[in-house]
Amino acid sequence: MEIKIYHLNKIYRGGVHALVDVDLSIPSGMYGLLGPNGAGKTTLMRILAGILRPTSGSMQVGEQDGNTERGRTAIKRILGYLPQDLGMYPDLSAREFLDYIGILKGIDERKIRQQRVEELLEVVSLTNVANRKLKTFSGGMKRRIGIAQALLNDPKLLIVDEPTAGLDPEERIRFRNLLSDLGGNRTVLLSTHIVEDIAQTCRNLAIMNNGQVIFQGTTVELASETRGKVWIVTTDGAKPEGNFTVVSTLNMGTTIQYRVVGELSEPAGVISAVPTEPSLEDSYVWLMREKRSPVKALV
Amino acid sequence: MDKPTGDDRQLLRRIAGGDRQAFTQLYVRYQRLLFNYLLQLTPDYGLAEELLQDTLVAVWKNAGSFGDRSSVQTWLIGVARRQAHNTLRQRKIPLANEPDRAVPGGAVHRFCRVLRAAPTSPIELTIKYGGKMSLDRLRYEVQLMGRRVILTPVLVMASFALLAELLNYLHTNPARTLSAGLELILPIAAGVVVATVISHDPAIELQLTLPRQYHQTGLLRVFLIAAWTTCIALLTSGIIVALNLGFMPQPPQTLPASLQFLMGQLVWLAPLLWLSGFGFCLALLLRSRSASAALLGGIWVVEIIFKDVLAYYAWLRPALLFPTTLLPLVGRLPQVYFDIWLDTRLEVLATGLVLCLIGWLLLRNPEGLLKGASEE
Amino acid sequence: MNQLPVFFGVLKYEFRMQIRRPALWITMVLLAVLITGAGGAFRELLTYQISSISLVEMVVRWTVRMNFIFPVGVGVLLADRLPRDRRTRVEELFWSMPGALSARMMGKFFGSMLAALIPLLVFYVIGTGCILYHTQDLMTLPLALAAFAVIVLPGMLFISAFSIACPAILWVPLYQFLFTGYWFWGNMLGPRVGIPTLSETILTPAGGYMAAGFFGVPAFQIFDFRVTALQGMESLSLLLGITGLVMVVLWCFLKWQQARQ
Repeated sequence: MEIKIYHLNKIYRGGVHALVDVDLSIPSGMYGLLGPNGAGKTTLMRILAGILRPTSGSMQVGEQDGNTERGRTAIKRILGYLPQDLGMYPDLSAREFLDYIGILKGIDERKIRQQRVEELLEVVSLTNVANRKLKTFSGGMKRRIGIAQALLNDPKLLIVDEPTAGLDPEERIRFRNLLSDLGGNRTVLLSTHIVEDIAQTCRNLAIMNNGQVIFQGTTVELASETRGKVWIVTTDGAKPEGNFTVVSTLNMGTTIQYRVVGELSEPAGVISAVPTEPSLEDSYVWLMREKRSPVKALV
Repeated sequence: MDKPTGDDRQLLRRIAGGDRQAFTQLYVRYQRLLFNYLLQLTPDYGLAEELLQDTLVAVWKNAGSFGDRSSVQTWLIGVARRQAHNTLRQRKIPLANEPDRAVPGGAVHRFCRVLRAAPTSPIELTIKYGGKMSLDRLRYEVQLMGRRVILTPVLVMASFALLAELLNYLHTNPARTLSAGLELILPIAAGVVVATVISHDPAIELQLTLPRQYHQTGLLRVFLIAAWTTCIALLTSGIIVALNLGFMPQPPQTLPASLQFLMGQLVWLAPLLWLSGFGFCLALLLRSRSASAALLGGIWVVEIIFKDVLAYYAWLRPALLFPTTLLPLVGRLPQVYFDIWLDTRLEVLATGLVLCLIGWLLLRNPEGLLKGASEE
Repeated sequence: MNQLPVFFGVLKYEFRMQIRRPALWITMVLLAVLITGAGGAFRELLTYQISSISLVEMVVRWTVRMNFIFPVGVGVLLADRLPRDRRTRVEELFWSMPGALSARMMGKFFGSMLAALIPLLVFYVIGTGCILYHTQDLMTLPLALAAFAVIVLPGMLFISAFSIACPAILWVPLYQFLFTGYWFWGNMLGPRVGIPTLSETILTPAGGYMAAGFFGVPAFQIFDFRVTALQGMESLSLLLGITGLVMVVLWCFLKWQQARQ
């Protein structure tokens, strides 16, 4: 299931340019979407889900043309969507809510639908609270219900916006595994600013900023872009000065180790400076510094 | 199985021809049986489920090779057995006998393996495109609107019944008051409830990504509220007529009694539709339930105070909501009055339907709906 | 801790919040359009001959005309202020702060009420301006001020108190719809119709007794010309007294609710 986006633009009323000439090619499997708040990630996902219509540009999801009404409805049938703010009906129980969404997704046969709901409740391990009203659910439980509803129709395209927000570490790992296992023929579009989630699961990703795509490609390519720009600098206590960003600080007692991303000249007070293999977070920081030139890897 | 086996053969024939509905029916009938059989071959619950999926895929692909030999059940068991033997041999079982709970995410892994294995999963095969409106769906729509929606018309009419009792006790004729309750209070209550429900849908973003069109859902909700209020009103109206407390203009006696009764119902049906439609439009335009309620209240008071002005100008008559109680028959021929009354009722009814249509058109704008979702 | 700065702070905040609400302005403008169009209010003002009625009567009539449906808007729009704190999750935050409940409550009451009165005042000033233009009599201004203070304000305080307090226990739309019905029943529906009402008693918040008693102008079903200024005073003090009572009850209720949690 490949998704192709051509020259997508979205201008909200009031002149807010949310998406600027976005060109993306999303292969099947896990795909990460990284970027700061306000970068346009949510807008892009809403357009893919058919909620918003782009000001200009076109998109293709699998064989469906996303520019016609029919195409959009066809995409919705194979879509599973988990929004960032998942609102639910407080008076329904978890089971009833999933059953209702199942009806709206087109699973008309009651027995099959109920079986499916039970299956998914077990997957997100909410079977023993399934009959409680949704208004009594905690944030993490609501997110799990959200994941369950997205998977009801066995979607070929799964769009998840900040899925692990509010989950404890164990749940987060579980969820990551769930998403990775879903790969294969399906496309899972994962948008988040928790870099760890993408680093552990996605091979391909895109980084957005200010409505533009400033990188798209594999994590390997991104790392090779950043190689040579990440250093571990050990000083005797003073913070090193220079044209770089300090990513982390480690107090070793007599010395302090800084992990920095950027250009390293010869600042004073530095005991040693060792180049190191860039992580995804380092690459992200490096790219954000390089705001001027959008980088497109050869995909 | 309590269904004749001839039926099952037909199902297999249809499945061979690519009929998904037939596959669904077969799946529902036999999957328990097949699963129990597979559990005998391997005690691992998860593996049995996986084998079941493999079997179903094989059934879908090979339905044409059934050939009417033995019973359908025997053939299905045969397919299951072959699939199981193939898979178990490939995997060089046995796997350790861990219960699912001990493996963290055991259910998850099983689920995902199952999903990846089938090229077209049974769930996909069961999804109906353009499905019918089921009773389950109606039940959920009512439930998610909340119990208060159901209680409001009931409480309104109950309090008016009490008021009528009080008046009776005070030796005053409660007919006009009861008519007021039915014509003036019940429709505005329905209007405010419609405005509240439509102006705020907590799951609006999710609803907009589902294949069922949202404008259908919104219209359905308005319809349910109006329908429930109609039931309460009909009941009350029937009781009022039975107790001979009617305050409606007399229809010509030449018409059959049922038609007379139906015409009498226009007393409250016309303002109900009008105020519901208006509340519907207001909720979508203003996206604030307080503002909609305030304006509905304002219209209501204006209708009462300035009733004569409304009755006077012909172009204002489609908005003359409450003539029965407020402008009763005074110094006019009953026949003439009834005709005029009927005309205004039909005009108001038509205006109400137009308002509902405008509301439905307003629902087709998803961007506006989303923006309004974060109001106040 | 001195509660006065807390009170003023909350007042300012609630005022700003309410005045910025588009719902407030849209509602009030549309209500103004309704009352102008349906009642021909402006037409009346513009066509009255100066010699036919006294200035006092004209000003009071205008005030009374305005008080027909604007209070409905005010009451309905104030009804969601208290539940809003719970909905936007700031309630928890407020409880953890040292500001006293009484200061917060009174600040909310006055702040939102004043904000809701602003569009009303604007409309009133426009009308008064028309009267001034026609009569060229500068006595219009103090008269208008007095009329507004005595006829409109007590009723506004009365209904604002109930609109802030009742949604603590009632579902907001239910209260809004009951309130609309009450406004009509308590002010305009006379007991001649058969059911007992509060319309012609001194408890009517639309200011009928004040209009009749102080200014000698009949309004809101008070057609008895023997209404004295004393009765006007009674009505005014009764309304203000009940306002205070309602706020005290609300305070006790909120304290009890918090202790119960």
